[in-house]
Amino acid sequence: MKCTEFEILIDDYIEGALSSSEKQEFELHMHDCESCRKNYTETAKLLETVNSLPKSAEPMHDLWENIEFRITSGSRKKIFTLKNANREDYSEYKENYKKNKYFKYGAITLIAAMILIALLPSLFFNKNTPLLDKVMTPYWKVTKLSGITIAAANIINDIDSLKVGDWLETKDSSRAMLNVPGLGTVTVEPNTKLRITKSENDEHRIDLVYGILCRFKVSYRN
Amino acid sequence: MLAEPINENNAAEILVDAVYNENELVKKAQQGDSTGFRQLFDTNVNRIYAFCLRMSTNPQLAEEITQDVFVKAWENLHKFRGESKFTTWLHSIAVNEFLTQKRSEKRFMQRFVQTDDVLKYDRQGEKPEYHFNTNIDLENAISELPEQAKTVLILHDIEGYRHKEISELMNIEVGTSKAHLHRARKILREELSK
Repeated sequence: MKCTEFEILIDDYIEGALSSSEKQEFELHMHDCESCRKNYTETAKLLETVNSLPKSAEPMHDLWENIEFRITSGSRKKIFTLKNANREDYSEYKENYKKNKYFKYGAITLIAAMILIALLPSLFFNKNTPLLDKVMTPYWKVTKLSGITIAAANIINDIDSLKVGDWLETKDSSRAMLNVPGLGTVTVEPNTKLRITKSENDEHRIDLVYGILCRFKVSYRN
Repeated sequence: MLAEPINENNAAEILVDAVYNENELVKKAQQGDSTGFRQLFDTNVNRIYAFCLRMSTNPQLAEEITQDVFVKAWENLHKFRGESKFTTWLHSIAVNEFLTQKRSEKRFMQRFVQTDDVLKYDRQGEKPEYHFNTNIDLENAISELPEQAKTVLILHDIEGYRHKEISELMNIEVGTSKAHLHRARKILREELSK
């Protein structure tokens, strides 16, 4: 047996997947070749350590609350199908779904109307306010994660918004999260500066002056 | 009442009971009972979170994906036939979430990042925010593995799946799974001997 063959067979040997003749040949080579013996010993030792790594870890936050909200809110897909529920259950679910839908859309319309009424004065009497810009143009939500984050020349408190042309800057120990409309979120790492250059329905672009953007999560749900 | 200690005689019985209970909870959840699903969540959340944490090396992202896994599981419960363990089914959803995420990341980079800046997005040098407190060097070395090799190593060497199961979970050939594992172990050996 050659050393290259030995190396390929190490995993199968450890798993006990070699035939008795292969196993015998493997062990014979291991006995004769110091380098392969070392290779095997190191692999076995590594496996012992990897196998002992914890299989479970506790999340930092209680995840159930959000999951429960998502599975019990109207946004979930149907859970009853004619295959796994009887017709009474399905009818009841359908009826409740309709009621919830009307209630939900009614509530949304009411809230939208209230917001519009609240915004009307600033829309009509001071057309140059940033508020108007936020209403009329697409904007990116920026959330401070830590430290001092400067957005569009202002230090942001917790949540703010950026539009095309605005820039965002993080310092030594500050981080921020940027939400791209319809796409997902980007984490702006410390010592990073960026500028929003384009934000349209199918295309969003930024100019990274310096620093790192990473740990993004892209929304792929419909 | 004191719980009966587990020994050789009753271990199999307890295991059968656990499987039976899991099946009962799945049935309840399939009928829309969220309390049954809550119990399945309680039993499995730490394991799925650990998998997501190793895959993402980011506690915040791991929590988000863990939530997505359970929401997807709830939405697709009617497809679960009990042919595998519920945990295995959850792992298959988690693996899919990460594969989809990777594909979306590629599209995201193409649409979102200006070509001049691509190199600046390189994750090299990025320190993983781990919350595993043991074997930190090894955990870091695992986090640096190529994506597919890392997935196979975690599933095989930590979660204890066999290559046949991994091939189904990841939709790859058994031989490919073996090759990834071999590569992952080799890289780890080299990294840890430095």
